Amino acid sequence: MGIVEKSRLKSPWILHYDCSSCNGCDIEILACLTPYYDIERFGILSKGNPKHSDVLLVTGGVNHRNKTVLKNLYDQMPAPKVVIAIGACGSTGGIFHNCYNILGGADKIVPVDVYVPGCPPRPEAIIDGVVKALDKLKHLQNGTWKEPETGPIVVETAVGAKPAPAAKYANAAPAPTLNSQPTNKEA
Amino acid sequence: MVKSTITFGPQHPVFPEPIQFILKVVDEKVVLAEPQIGYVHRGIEKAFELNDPKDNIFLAERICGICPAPHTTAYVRGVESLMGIEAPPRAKYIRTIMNELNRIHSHILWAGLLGDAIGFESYFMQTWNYREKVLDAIEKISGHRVTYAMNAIGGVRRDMTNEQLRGLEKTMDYVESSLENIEDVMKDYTIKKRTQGIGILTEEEARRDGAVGPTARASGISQDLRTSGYDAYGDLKFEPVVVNNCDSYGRFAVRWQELKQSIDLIRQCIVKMPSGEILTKSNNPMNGEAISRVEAPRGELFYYIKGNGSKKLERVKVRTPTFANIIPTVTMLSKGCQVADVSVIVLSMDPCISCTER
Amino acid sequence: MQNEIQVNSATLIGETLKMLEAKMRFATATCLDIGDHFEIIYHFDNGNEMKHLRLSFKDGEEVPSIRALYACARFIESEIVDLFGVKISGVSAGLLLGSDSPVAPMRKSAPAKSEVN
Ligand code: SF4
Repeated sequence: MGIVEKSRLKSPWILHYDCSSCNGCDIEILACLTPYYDIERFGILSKGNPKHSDVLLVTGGVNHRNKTVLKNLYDQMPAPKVVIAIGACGSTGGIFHNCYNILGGADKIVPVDVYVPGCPPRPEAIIDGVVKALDKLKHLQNGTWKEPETGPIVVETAVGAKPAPAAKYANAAPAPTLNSQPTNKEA
Repeated sequence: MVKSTITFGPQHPVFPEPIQFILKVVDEKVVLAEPQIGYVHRGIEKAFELNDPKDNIFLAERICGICPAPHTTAYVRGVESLMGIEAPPRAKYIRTIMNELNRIHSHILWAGLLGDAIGFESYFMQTWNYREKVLDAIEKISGHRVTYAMNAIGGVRRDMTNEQLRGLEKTMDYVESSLENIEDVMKDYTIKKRTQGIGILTEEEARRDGAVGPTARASGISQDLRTSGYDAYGDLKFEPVVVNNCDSYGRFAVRWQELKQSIDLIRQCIVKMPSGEILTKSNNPMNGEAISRVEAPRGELFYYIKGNGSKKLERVKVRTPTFANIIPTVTMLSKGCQVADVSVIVLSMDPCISCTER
Repeated sequence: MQNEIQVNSATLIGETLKMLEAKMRFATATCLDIGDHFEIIYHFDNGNEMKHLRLSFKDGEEVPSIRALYACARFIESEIVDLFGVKISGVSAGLLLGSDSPVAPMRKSAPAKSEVN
């Protein structure tokens, strides 16, 4: 592995394109960049330029006007590249499935490597998605990538987790996922 | 004179959302700006007619992920008036609290994005760090950071316990003190240089172009729908924040003061919170036409709802604040601003493209 | 609705002018597909109360534009033309919909979701 390949994995640059999302997913991606979640500590940087980016984050379903924009952005990115579909919309069209202008998820236009479900997914899940994508990027770089037999890579979010006992909600304990967050000293 | 054309967007580092401006420039001065929208149009208004009215609450929430509370409030208030019912007082207070929490997080978000647009990175990071505390408070109340699903037709879905109210009080103290920490930003030389006198919109122009929300209030128009006293606002004491700067700095100032106002409103709500039911159940048919307007963080949010007595709604029309503010922005841009100021001017009206195009 | 005035293509401009003189803000316009005809409701607001003008017209009839009086009607009218496929003089489609999008999708007769998907 040369220095370029190694650095690419240690510091992947991200391009975010909002297809037709409701902003919920976008602000969660932005929240990843800020001190609370801080993906820069993993070397992940968000860039506005497709020609510098290795990872494409797509939020929202594809519509008739932005499908060409998405395709252009994807084509401008240098290989190897991975695409992550964020949110229910980016994966399948989500709640907007019966809107006339929506074609479906991002995979209608570009090949999607990792799906991050949720509406919107929590920042932790988005970070997890990027980390999973990096693994694939590594194999793509080495030419050792094999499609997993279990189907596409999907980040496991709280959706499949066991629900907390009802009594827990009744006395308004903080949601269980809160414990996994980094603690903020200023609070 | 040499005129060149610059296309600004749809994918641009400053805007999280796709909007395109075709700028005609002479040297560095913009002489004409033509917005191009439609990159996020989905067709939600049609989906409103296809879904069950109860499911529509979640759809309304996802018109805009930044202000779900006002969207659902406007929608359920419209449907309630078609059914001829009213939410119980406690539900109204909870709605008001959610709306104000929403306003706080939205205004902090905006303040950060403005810092990002003018290259004040540390300010962006700092504000967004404070914003996480507000989101945590929202999560403790509703169970989700971004989409709350608190409103139901006839009231709210979740009650607030006393611990939650006390926790909210603490969050408000935290937000207030942290805002004081960074208040000096308003006096900062660079911020003033980048915002004062940039993006002028006079009162006359604001009236003519139909500006709403902070954009209008920064141009000296006292227009705030909360004064009409819907939900719990009738019981609370507040004055609309109006300044006369008519520029980007004025819009900054309005939002900054509204942050404090919202903190105050939440405190008033906590003190006055009545007890009792949170949901009025009803199976009345939805008949007739209703207009429901609420003050979203970005301005007047307008819902027109028509029912025909059947199980589904016949028409739902949504006019969002940014839609009303696009023409004023074009006015601001076309006054010969510098190309470098385009992003500041567009951001100063707090664009939300997702809800504009629905 | 309260404060509603019925207008037709001929009287629309005159009534709108009255609103302009009364310093009303043009909030928005709503288009409705009533089956055999269309309606456009123009909503005006002066801070305290709203007034509405209801314009009824047949499909295919060209209605006047109020852009000359209220500049902010520009996008509102193009949106209506785009989504309902009605004719408003001097307003062209193409604001929201792409070239491959369904045509006039908000009409009641339009298919809910195109088969292509
Ligand atoms: S998945 Fe949910 S939050 Fe994300 S864009 Fe879609 S509707 Fe919005």
